[in-house]
Amino acid sequence: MLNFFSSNEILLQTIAVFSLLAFSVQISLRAGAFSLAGVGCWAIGGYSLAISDRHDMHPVIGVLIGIVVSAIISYLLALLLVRLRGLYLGMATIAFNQMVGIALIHGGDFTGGELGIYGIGARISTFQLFAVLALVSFLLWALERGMLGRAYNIVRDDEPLAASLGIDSESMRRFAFVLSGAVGGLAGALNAMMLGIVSPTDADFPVIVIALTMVIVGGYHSWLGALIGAALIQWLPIGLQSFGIEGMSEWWSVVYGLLILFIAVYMPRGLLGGLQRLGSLMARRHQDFREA
Amino acid sequence: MHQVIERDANREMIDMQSEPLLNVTDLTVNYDGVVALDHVSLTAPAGQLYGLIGPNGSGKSTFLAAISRHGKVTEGRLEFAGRDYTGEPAFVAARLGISRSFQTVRLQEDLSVLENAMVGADHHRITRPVIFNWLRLVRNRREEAECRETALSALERVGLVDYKDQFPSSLSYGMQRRVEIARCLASDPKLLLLDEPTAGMSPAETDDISELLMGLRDSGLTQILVAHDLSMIHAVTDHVFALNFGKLIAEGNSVDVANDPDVRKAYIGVADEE
Ligand SMILES: Nc1ncnc2c1ncn2[C@@H]1O[C@H](COP(=O)(O)OP(=O)(O)OP(=O)(O)O)[C@@H](O)[C@H]1O
Ligand SMILES: [Mg+2]
Repeated sequence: MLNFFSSNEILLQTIAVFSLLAFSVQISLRAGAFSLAGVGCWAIGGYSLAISDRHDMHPVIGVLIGIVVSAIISYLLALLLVRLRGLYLGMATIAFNQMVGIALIHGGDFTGGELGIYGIGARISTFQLFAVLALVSFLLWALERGMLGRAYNIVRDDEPLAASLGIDSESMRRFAFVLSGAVGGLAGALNAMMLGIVSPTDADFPVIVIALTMVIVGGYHSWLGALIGAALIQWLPIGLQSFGIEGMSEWWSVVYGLLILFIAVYMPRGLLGGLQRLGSLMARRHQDFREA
Repeated sequence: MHQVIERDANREMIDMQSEPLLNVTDLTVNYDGVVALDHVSLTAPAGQLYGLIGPNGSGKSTFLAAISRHGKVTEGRLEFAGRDYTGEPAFVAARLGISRSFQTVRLQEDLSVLENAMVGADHHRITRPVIFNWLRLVRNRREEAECRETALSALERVGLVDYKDQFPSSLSYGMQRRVEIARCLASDPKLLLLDEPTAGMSPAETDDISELLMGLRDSGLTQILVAHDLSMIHAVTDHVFALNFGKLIAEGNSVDVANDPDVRKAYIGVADEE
């Protein structure tokens, strides 16, 4: 057991950090906002930490700055994009991510230009990462249960109905936007501590694709889906290798593509949704069996 | 007999109230060129079951949408319990106590019948800021239990407690409609707007709904019912408004309105077309 942890430490850390990134996207998708701005915030959080580290601030302060700056920018973004829905919102938030990337490239000494900032001194342990992941998971669990859970369901699926029930969809979605940004910023700051470097590519397309894939594969209806998706997508390349499949660099993207295709077609609610359906099916079987 | 006495007592209480519950003045709604409602003015004192009739396209749904603030208001003034709410968004109208159903069934497929009704019961909690509700992790449980109770008694009222753990898709159309009414009731509304709640129902199901609505009226709930079925309108309503081409052409008790020459013409005109 201990051996497993030490030999897979990097994988575990990556899973924890990318789960937080997946949460960021999942929070807005669940609220019915197809926003990928969490990725821009991931970069903002990373740079906030890197820059405060250079100014010899305590890492906790650096992380907090990342969270707060991301939250404020997300709030402004929410005000700006309030009328946009669906694909248009998705495009606008991708544009936001690109703008963050460009700003980071042109930030001069402050952001380190094309190369970014490396040699970040702040470090984080696997235990600390998982403690943060547990805390955020708990908060999201609380957000998805009971009254808020029901209300967000309706905001996502049927806005006129939400309004007829006294639900202020706009403010609920704005809240999700800000939370999504804050969690994205947190994830980015922790990632910077884990890797020791940040670069403008943190806001780039591959990160957007990874973030979205994790959430779609796992299931965006719940934080747990995002967690499952992150764990699977981060583990898969290593997992395939350990099954003795050679020449991974070629096959990885094929397996990856097939997986996404399969899930998109057969599991519209992701792996978690699929598992839940299987669970309720088995429960029904069991009941039929007992009644017979 | 008992019910009649209770109802009369309610009536007297209502007569003593000075403010009408709903006051609509010169309500006009234009959809780029189409005048869907044309200077409609009406007053609805509390405690009655109102019928809203008119041929297809006469503006009934537009009227409900306007007074629930879902649809636009081009001109005019809306007052609820003495308060002008013309410029408010729909969720504010709902918080004032105006609850509505839509012309099509709108239930949450991934929530159980009970949870669907609980959404209505969440009504008073939903007015608090999201972050406040979110961080009240501990007290949430007690409020959740209260909410469940409210939803259960609403389901009891519409006769669906036994189905509380089922999902909407496994219920008949008539039952789904009743879940919607339970969801409205759970929010303890002051005014209930129902857009053709019995469309597509069997006669038996329609009778069930009629009885339910009359029961609600007897317990003091003000309702506006849109229905095409004139025999139902006769059976349940206290007061009827008739629309044609967006204009209010008659109002009064159901017999008088049905015999009104303009109303007859409006309906026969439609019958001729068909
Ligand atoms: N969103 C809209 N855009 C343009 N015109 C509309 C819109 N909604 C309704 N109308 C028009 O306004 C008029 C009134 O429509 P409304 O739906 O209120 O009628 P209704 O009395 O509810 O009819 P029905 O009995 O068929 O439900 C109709 O002429 C309709 O075509
Ligand atoms: Mg209509």
